[in-house]
Amino acid sequence: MLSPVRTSLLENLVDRLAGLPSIGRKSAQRLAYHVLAAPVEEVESLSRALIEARRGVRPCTVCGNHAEGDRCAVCLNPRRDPAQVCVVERPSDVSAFEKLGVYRGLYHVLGGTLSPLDGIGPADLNLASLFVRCENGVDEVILALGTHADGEATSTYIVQRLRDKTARITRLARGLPAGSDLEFIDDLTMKRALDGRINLG
Amino acid sequence: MGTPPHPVPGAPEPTFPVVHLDRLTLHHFRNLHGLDVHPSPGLNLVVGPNGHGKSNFLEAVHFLALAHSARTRKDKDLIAWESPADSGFVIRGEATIGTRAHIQSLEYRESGSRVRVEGLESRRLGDLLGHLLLVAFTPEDLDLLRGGPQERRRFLDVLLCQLDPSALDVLRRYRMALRQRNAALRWSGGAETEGLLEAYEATLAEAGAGILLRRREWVKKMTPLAAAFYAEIGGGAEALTLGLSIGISGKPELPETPILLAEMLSGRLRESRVRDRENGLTSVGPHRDDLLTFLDEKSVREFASQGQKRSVALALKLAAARLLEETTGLPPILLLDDVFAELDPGRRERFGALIAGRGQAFIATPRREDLPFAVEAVVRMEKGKVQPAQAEREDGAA
Repeated sequence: MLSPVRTSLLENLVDRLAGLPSIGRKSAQRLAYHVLAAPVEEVESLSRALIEARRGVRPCTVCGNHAEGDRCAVCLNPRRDPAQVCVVERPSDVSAFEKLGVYRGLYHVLGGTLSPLDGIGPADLNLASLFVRCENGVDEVILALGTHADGEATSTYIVQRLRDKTARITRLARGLPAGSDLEFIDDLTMKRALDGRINLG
Repeated sequence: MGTPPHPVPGAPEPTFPVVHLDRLTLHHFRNLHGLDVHPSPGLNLVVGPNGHGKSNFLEAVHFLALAHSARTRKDKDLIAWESPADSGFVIRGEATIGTRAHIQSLEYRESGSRVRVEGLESRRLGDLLGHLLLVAFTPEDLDLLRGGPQERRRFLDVLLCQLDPSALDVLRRYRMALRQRNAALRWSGGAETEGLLEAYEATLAEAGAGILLRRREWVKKMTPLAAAFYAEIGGGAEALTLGLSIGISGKPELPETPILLAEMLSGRLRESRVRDRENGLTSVGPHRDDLLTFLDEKSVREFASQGQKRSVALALKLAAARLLEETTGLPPILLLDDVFAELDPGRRERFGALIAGRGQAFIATPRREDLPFAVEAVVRMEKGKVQPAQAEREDGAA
């Protein structure tokens, strides 16, 4: 098959699209052809949406979540319980919790995890404001970071700093996946599940 | 027991548990491209002129099963030179494991690889490990006894991951936390540094304890097997013993439980902070372990002859294979790359007797007359292609 003739404008568009996460070269091409075939108004409203979102969405001054003003929708909601703070890596984790519809507390978004290899230390994360927050009326800090080495290290770091400052520091349970048989569970998961067992009566 | 979903055509239904590759396809792997081979579940002899891809074929099987090459540490060197830009190599295997059909494949690219095991996709090569159980005998095995400790740790860890699938996650977490602690040791953040070090030491101690206990357990189990195999093929009267040298100075007695051992490691890590910051490297932990081998209590590395080292290397690999078979109930696939030529006729005979009839094997040898047994199938390689006569029967049935 002959490769289609490409103008440099098209090429530029494909390059830009392919630079987006989880978009490969082929998908980028398909999107670019779609854009070229679409009515101009539609493309204009897409590009407006991109710019408006980028300019209008900022980190919440309290928790670091995405916000359209000073504070995010969760922090502004008077029915949420400010005494409970759930610490997560990124705003998408907030959405994951919100989807459940059962958590009534607030969040704190770190913006990543520690990673000295990449030059990310405590000062590069949204940690200082967490420590300040916890000095005023927070009863429970829930650590909800990933279970990879960096997530664990970040949790350990926070525990060191908040021990004695907060009434309760908890971590999400890790353990048996739903619907699993005990004999096929590895030792580490078993041990964690045992450590994190819950009281039933 | 039901019948296997894909019985091997023409072969009698296996009466013992098996692991074997039934089909292997390769693209852009060194000089091999567009290869599609249907090996026999028994002994497969790979023949062809030198430089036409015999060892490369074995290397591909090795990579598919163990996620690395025994010949190079630079995975990207395995991509064929003439392949298009940002394309990599592809290896795909259809196998029988026990009575199950199993498929695993990888697409290796410098920009990121894709692994598929039983339909589950992942970006981590390590996820290939532990399914196609395999032990390779290659000329590089001598490095286990000549080279530095990292070759021996790799040998142990690959075996660990095959014996116990949970080991892979522990090794990964340890390696990541170790790299991060080393980076933290060079951190210029002043007071922050202690907090960073402590944060990673918790994971290092927990995962480190898991690695140490696993290595110790499996070295202990491997010792009598290796000794027996050495006695059988070595021909000498010396006794082979194995030991694990732990990466903790003073070589203290290790506590028995993971929790106590993690506490001990954590204490040692804390004590070594000042020195480690000077060197920019972590001095304590299983990344400093070594597998020791002795003949009559003398270090093999320092005192053994070339011939003795060769026999010790064979004994270690045979012990690994037997351990896999005893633990999982499945005899692993064996790769034999150019190992017979190095042995004298007596050892060749005894080694061959230990190998033949124990499951699937792939054998590359420049001289067929060196083989101490008959083979079930011949894969003929020429100029990186499998020649049409690929399934020629040794016994004249074809």
